[in-house]
Amino acid sequence: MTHVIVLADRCGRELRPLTERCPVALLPVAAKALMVHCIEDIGMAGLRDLTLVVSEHADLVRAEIGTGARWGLRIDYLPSRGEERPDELLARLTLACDRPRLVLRGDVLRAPCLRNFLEALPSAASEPSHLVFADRRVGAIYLPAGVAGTPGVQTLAWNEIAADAAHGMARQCASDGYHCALEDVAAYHRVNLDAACGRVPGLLLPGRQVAVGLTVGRHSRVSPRSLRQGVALIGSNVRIDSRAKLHGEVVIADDVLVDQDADIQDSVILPNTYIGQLVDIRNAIVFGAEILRVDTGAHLHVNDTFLVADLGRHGNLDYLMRPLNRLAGLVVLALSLPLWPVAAALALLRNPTQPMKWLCLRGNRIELNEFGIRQRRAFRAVEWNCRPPVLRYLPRLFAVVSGDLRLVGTLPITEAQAAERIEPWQREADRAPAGLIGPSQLLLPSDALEEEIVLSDAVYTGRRSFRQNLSYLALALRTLFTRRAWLG
Amino acid sequence: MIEFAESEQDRLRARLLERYADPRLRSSLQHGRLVFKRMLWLGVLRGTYALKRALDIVVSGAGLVLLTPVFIGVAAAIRLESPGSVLFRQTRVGRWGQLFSMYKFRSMYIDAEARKQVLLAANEMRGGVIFKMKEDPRITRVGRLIRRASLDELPQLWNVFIGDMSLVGPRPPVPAEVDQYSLADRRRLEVIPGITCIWQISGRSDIPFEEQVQLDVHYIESQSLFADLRILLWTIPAVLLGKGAY
Repeated sequence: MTHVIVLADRCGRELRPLTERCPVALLPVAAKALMVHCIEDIGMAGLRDLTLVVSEHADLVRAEIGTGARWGLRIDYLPSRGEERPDELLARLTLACDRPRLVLRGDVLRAPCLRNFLEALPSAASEPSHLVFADRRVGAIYLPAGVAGTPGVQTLAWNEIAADAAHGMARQCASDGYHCALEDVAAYHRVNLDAACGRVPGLLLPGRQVAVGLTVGRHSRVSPRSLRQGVALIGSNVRIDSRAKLHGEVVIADDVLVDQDADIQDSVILPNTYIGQLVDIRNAIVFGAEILRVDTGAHLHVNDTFLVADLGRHGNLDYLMRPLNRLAGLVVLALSLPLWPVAAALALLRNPTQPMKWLCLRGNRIELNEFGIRQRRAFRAVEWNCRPPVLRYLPRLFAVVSGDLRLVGTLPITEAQAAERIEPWQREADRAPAGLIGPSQLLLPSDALEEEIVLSDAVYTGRRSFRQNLSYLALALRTLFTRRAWLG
Repeated sequence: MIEFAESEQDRLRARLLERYADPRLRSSLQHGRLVFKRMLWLGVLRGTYALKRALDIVVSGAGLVLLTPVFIGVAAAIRLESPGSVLFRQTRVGRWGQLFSMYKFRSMYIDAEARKQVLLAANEMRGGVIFKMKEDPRITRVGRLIRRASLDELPQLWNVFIGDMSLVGPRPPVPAEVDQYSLADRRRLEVIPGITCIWQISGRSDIPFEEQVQLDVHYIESQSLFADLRILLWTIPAVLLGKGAY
């Protein structure tokens, strides 16, 4: 039984900002994750055993794909550092040579072709075979049983030069099927429209056709009158107002709201996006509050939620959380009053001349600076000069009541620390509000490295949810009864 | 002077622009409006799932309680005719390939599975994936009666109550059948399986396998609470007439 190894460890730099929160393998193509198209191709070829090589956001891939039972496959996972050399990666797999192996990339789009490729192979193949597409990129490599090692898999490296990669290979099977490596945002836009319009033969598209040119997914409400001309592929859980207009070739992924009189033409709308009233979208990719024009290359962030909004961030209860946090802060402050004399006594014993310390931290309240740019307002954070963390940070409850801090959030930092964060992954942590407690405060030791804190906050920012915040609150309550809270 | 009627779009545009007159009001309106729209749409989506689940729990719970005398009567009849367990537990494939135990009243002799291999050549089910025979010798006399009246499916109300199944959905296949599924056939496994579904009221076992898959996929893609209620209502005459049940 052929063992399939799927390489999906692209870092996705060339597709930023689409890949800031999502790996390339999970980018939706025609309202279905890119990796799912690959897995379906593998399933159609009758293959069952699969090893998936993932790097960034590996847990998201695992949550989406699972064990493969959905497609009748058995999938296990191999972590990668990201865009590793395939030959070094596969050496770590220690695959047995007595089974045929098929190696391919899962983060590119191919028309289903593996079944034809495998059927075209000679029955007693003894040398590797390469599936080469019209753009001279190697799509897959078949290694028969008995072939030691993984010769030629270097040609599957994402950053390998296509033209030279397949030159001189032992056996090549040419394919004129559709293949796109998603080398940039424009290519991603193009493959979505190609898939929706049927120019990628063999792809299993979700949904059902409700009118000529209009395919609609489950639980979606779309009026056929909305499609004025062209082709539209709509994902699941989508609501398009009956007065919205769709022209040309349009792909709308899952969980999207399109409001009345919006006009969308030749565009791709990604999940969790709100398109407001009278908004015109042309030749663009819209995801959340970001608009990418593929014709001009412009990247626009829209702050006005009347126009475009990220439903995952703006459409939830985040707006209501601000007054709730302040109220909760007031309640916790009232409950903590018996601890204040204890904290004051300990601080005076430790340092009679300076029982309290002040430092300036970045808060959550937004102000406009002298250039009119929105920035976080600094606030004066006070703490008792004593050892127990529970007592030391009691005065920060005032910051929670005033709105400068949330109860749960990232570790508050100074302006100087914020200025040192220049890498995109470091600034990811700035997207979440700062809080009194959080993963860095609760789970990391007090002498943790700065990089560790930034990474912890960045991961929290990407996965932030109401349920997760509640779990951190519960953890904080449990931590109150541990040594760490009282001894430091 | 000629006055042009203001179009609906112009009025909408003017109303939107008015909101930008007051920045403080705009901020509150923006967030509140978006939260309201999203909550409304989520309410529709989640509400559909919640209502379907609530319907499942209420109907299955009520059914389990009200049909207790029927359960006792059927159990006694099965036990009196042939020794062995009253309930038949079988592993079935649920949503996305997850396995679960489905319960039925036993309508066959205890060694029925062993005898199936001998009878495979006489499979009357078109398509060959599912096995069914009208005159299956493995079925007991009581079993024939309860199968014709669909009483053997009643214990699945417990599966519905605990969430393994729903009242309406594609019938759950056995793992051996799923092994023969093509990728397109596996679309049946996209939702929670049910006691009754569209092909059950269309001709049940009389329709070929491919047509069953097509009907199931059509149901999955157009699923709604009203569709489920319609299928439930049509199930009653289908069961009473016993079409395709053997």
